[in-house]
Amino acid sequence: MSINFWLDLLILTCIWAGVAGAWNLLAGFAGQFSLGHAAFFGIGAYTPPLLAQALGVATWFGIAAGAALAAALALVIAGVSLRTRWPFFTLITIAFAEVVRILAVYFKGITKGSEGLMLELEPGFANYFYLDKWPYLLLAAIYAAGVIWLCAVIRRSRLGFRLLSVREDEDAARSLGVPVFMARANATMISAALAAMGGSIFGLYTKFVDPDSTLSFLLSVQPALITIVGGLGHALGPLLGAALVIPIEHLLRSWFGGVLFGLHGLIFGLALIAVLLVLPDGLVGGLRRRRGRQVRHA
Amino acid sequence: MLGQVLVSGILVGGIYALVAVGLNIVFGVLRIINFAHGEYLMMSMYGAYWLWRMGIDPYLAAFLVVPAMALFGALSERYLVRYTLAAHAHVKIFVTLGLSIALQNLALLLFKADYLNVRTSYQTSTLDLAGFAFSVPRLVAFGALLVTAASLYAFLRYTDFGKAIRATAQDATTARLMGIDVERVYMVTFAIGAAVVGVTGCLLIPIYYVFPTVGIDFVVVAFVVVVLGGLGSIPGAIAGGLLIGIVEQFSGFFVETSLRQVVYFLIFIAVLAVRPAGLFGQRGAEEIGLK
Amino acid sequence: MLRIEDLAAGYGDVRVLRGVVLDVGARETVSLLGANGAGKSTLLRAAMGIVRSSGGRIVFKGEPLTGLPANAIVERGLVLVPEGRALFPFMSVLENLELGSYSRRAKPHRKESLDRVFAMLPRLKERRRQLAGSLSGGEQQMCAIGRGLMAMPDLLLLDEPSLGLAPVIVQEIFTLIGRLSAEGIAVLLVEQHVKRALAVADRGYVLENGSIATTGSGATLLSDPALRKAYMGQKH
Repeated sequence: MSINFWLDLLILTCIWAGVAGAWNLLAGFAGQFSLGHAAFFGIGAYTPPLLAQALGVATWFGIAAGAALAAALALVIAGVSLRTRWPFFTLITIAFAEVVRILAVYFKGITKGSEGLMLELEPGFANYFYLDKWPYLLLAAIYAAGVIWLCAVIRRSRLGFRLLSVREDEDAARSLGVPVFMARANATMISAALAAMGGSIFGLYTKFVDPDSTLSFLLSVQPALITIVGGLGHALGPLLGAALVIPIEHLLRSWFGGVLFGLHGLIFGLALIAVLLVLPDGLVGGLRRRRGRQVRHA
Repeated sequence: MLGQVLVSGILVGGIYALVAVGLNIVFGVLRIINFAHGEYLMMSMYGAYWLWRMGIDPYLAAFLVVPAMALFGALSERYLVRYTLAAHAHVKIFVTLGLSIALQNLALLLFKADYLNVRTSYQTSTLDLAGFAFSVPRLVAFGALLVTAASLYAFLRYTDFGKAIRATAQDATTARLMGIDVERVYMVTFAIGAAVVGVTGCLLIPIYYVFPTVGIDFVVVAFVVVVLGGLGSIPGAIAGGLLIGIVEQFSGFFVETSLRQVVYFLIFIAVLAVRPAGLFGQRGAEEIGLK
Repeated sequence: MLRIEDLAAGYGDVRVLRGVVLDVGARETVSLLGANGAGKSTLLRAAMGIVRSSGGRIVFKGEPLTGLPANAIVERGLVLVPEGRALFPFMSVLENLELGSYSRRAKPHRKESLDRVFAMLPRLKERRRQLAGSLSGGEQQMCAIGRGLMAMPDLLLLDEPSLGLAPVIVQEIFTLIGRLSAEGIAVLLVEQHVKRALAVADRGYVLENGSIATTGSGATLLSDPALRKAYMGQKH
């Protein structure tokens, strides 16, 4: 297989490790299971090319704007779900993501609808637009490392402790004076902004943005699957999960994609069930348990 | 004209209500959101479709599809959902989601993405009553809704096993202290939810196409209906279903079809933000369950 | 009738009970006393199979109960009236009572059981159409005991039936408990009202830090100076 195949695999693994890390921040630390991260991912993917076309601004500015827009939507979601508890947060995120997807398809004048946008930008660093794959690997790797580092930092920060306390017992946390809404809103916004950045990089890399590849419901499931496989609530879980899930998905798609339409999704669904039932703590949890057992035996 | 829109809204709403009733009873008793509920509908529709290809009228097919779906529902509880009941929240959500994705793609693998529909003699016939035109299959579906909902309600209200189901919904541990086999209640509840959706599938196939992701179209509305009507409430699900049906038909006047779902979602979000127990739900009942 | 041998039980890694030995004979009323957190409720819940026991044996009418789910234990005539009543709040009093006789053992006799319970607790008959959640605390406790009796128990486990009730009602509850042995029902009573509990009981056990500290007849225990000091200082 060509070098491009491997590069492609690595870039996507890094991007999805980052997006899953963003999801994990909210789900693993705060116990809020979003199934709407496709909305943030898609906003991130669409914003840079749309802004570049409309205002001629550089991609970097578009990435920042996309992250800000996603964070703003996240704040609305946090506000709306203020009084609800599991599992309504999940349903609300699904609803928001669907609204974003439908609107992206509907406003053809801006987004070209389901046809999708081809990215044609001035090559160079300002737009981070290259024909070569290497620069994207660099960017994706920095992104993934950045997200994981940030998650590790947050985990040990005051926000991290607050999120964990809210996850364990919301009422107790509230009665101890933890600002529950603020903690949750902050986590949702950071998570959304990070996921949007992943979407931006994905869009720039594939040079094509359409609702199917950036806003579909399966893209909301993807970061969840990756994180659960890797280890929910562990900073390294998403990286481990992405390193396993993305290559397998890639291979499945290249083997069966054209011939047996649906087989890839069938395996995806069954794998999700199998992981949940066999390894509910994911690879990290499984490894830890194993090590713990050996230590105890010794 | 507006009267006619109201009539078709109520008839469409009946279908939504039926899908929501099945979802709601399972949620009320097991506290599980069954993301695969829409796929149960899809399976029922394919079942009715293939039986029609073999020469069986869709309404007669119900006598085969409904027991088959009840069995499938019972099996999916027994061999899948049961292992998630004591597990973490993420396991609860994602196991049925995995089942949903797997079933959708299995259908895609088996039947391709084609839109299939049946042809029956009564499909396009209408009945004129009091100056309004009633589509016959929709009228049949609505009648079946009333019968199904009323019998389910009576079953839960007046039979011993129905009372056991309600007791389990309110307090599973105490239910067990009454001698109720809670696992059996869970299994039967799942079977009932799937059977109701089996009825819906057979009623829907003369009206609507079947394709692998058809369940999503309906289950999404069912979620809205459930939230609107109040969790665990059967009368609430029916009222919510009819309301959404009417809103849908009226909104057809004002917004384009492609934006219709946006209207549902906005209602859904608004209800959850303002009154999480639902418009018809009792406050606190989302913690207590089936009524 | 009920024999508990060397029972150990707890929640997760927390051991609440260890080495508990206790027995209740037919038609006997036995009180189980002890400070808060001594493990009384856990003992009853372990007997019903709601809390998994990690060691020892629970034998009822000569048959080991270990590993059986609560619904199977109810079928054998061992019935718990849980702490805090635990009625089904959105169901009527009558429905609550009917559910009491849900077991195969009790269902065929539902009509007679209902008449008997209504005769013992006439207020429940007046309120039978009302939602259980709307009853007063005392009525709820009556309903919970009535629901327990509907199961036709050979041995009824009562977990703090007087908790949070006014003195007049407490008196009523204890009178009712006193009548149960005449109905042929053995009772194992967990209570905070030590004096009353021992007065109504044939024998008593004192649970301390998860195991049985003292046992004896009501009168002996009442005069036991250690017990008086430990549990009766705060209660009358």
